[in-house]
Amino acid sequence: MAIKRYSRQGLLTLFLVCAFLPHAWTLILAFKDFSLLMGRIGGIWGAIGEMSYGLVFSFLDTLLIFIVTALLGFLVSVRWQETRRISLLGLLAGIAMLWEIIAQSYVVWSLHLPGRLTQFLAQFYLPFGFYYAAALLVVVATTLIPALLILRNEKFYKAFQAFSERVTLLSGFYLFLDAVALVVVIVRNV
Amino acid sequence: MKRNLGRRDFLKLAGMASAGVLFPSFFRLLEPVVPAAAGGKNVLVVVFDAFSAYHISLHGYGRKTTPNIDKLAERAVVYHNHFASANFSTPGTASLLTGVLPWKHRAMNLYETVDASYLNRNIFSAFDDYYRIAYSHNPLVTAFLDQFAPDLNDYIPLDQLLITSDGLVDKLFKHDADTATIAWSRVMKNGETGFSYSLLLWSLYNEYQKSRIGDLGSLFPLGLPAVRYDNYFTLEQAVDWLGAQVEKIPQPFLGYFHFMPPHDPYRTRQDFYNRFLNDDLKWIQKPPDIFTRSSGDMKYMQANCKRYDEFILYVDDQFKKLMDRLESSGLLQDTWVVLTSDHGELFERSIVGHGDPSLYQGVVRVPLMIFEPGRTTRTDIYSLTSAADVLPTLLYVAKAQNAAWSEGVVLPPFSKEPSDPNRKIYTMKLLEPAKGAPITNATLAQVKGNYKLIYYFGYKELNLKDHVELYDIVADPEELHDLYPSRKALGNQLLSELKAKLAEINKPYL
Ligand SMILES: [Zn+2]
Repeated sequence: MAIKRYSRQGLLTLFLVCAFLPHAWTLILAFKDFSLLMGRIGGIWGAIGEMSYGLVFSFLDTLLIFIVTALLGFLVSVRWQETRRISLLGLLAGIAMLWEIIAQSYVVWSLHLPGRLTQFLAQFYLPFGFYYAAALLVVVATTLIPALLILRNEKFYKAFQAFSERVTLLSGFYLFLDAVALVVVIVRNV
Repeated sequence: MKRNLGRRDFLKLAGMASAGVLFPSFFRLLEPVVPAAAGGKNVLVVVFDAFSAYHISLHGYGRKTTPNIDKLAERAVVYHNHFASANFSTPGTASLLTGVLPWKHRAMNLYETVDASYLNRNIFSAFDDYYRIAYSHNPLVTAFLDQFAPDLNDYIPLDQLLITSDGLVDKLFKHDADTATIAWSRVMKNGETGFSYSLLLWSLYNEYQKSRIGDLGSLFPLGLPAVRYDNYFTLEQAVDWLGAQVEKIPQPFLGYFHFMPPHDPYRTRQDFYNRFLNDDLKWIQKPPDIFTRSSGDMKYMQANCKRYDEFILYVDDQFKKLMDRLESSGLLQDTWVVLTSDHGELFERSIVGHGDPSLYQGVVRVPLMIFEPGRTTRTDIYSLTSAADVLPTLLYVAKAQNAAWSEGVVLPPFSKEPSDPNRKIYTMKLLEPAKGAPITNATLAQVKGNYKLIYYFGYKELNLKDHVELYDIVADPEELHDLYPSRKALGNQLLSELKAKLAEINKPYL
């Protein structure tokens, strides 16, 4: 039965794990924008307003990520106990989000691969396909290895659980911020 | 007057009336374009945002950017030394609309509106017996149209001529649309910037936007022209709409239409793309700017300049299309058409764009062309003119009235008085003084005769020290040689004149 597959407690944990990175990323970028926005006509209240919209949208982003992850959860065999499956899903969602953040960071902070590495690679005149294949390999490895570790390695599993417990605590705080942000948005719109 | 209606007449009228009830829009199509009442010619102001005179072939630019406008000019009054009042949309446009310079209308910051005293002293209130219609692609200008909405008969919302828009966000957060739409672009518009607050939602949004654009995408190799990242539009749509609209509305009308191109992002149409690739335009590397302290990366500036010039080809093409349509509908015979801009654009001294503290010619010299009804010859005006002159001139030619409050003058050749050879033209960048406060941080430029004096003051970046530059813009139109160090006496004479003017402006705010 679908309902029994995941308990309410399990889904809540997953939701909180999913909430961490979108909120952290939103806050990082919003703080980065803060001084820019302060200089605009709205001043500090405008900048706070912008950040509030950011957080409210971030909640929606979290919701979407959570739904997608939870749906993927139905593909995971029930042979593992629920807490382990939740950990696996949280980890996979987290890794996917981290890759997205890395990709965006390249633009935000105009990062480049180290010059020496690109020079080294350039001398081989490798076809473009090679770089795609290499990137794919890295992504698969960063997904598969941690997934296997969660399922097979007790130590890794326990460590991840301890880690995600802290993360959910922080996420709880972020959700509180979301509520405050929602109030700010409402106040600005009446 | 006929007192008794014949049966035949009655039936005809009744038939027409019922057709009118059933098909009101069809009925409107049947109405001929009624020539304006005696004296009341229409006025149509067309503004292309960030359109620099420096980049117009008509004004001597090395690239053939405006082949059509060059031809149209043969029937226009062409102003060769016309200055915007400022270096970005808010203050520059407000001067077109109010006939005063930014130090008076006080719209100086992004999204700021004009001082309330201009609510009944602007182009729309001045033409109160006209049918007044306005549209802007540029949200900064929409802020003014919002402000003047009570004086508009037909205020076309920004969204109407956009293919994709933030209209939903605007509506949902209508009391806070400015901040909400900024947040929305930061959250969602990864497709344009490469990053977003959102990690997943943005990709759904991106797909949705792509589906809205459809086949149009292939016509614009650099992406569709846009405002606020991805509120896409085409100039074709805007110009077609404008052409159709002015044929329908009552006359005489006053139309103010403010279109985004060639403002960045510079995204020209397929047929103009790479038109200037590998051409032999001679690039002038200019001395460093006091702020950027660099002559700039030549390749980067050249690449952007080329894209901008190619975008101007698109403007030129669509302006011709508009004029052709006005001509064929007969409207041109009864309409004063003004082509101008709110400010220019720079590609020099490490500056690409507009709005920073500098006021070099590229960013303050803009086109002004007036197409007088029935004119068949070209008149060239070389005297110095200002954006503040547009309103008083239009009021004078269309209604024989004066705009007593304006800082501008009625322009030659329409004015009966000879133009003053010692007239001073001002253009400026004012930094965030509150509406009721004196100006203490700004760049002011004063142009008088051959000389342009640029006065920077109150900048933290310059340790609050004054900085002055002086150029002979006739002998040195590229502003390569700052004469201030070598001609202190002249420079200081002009500077004291400018300071006296500033003191006069600041007086009511002290
Ligand atoms: Zn502008």
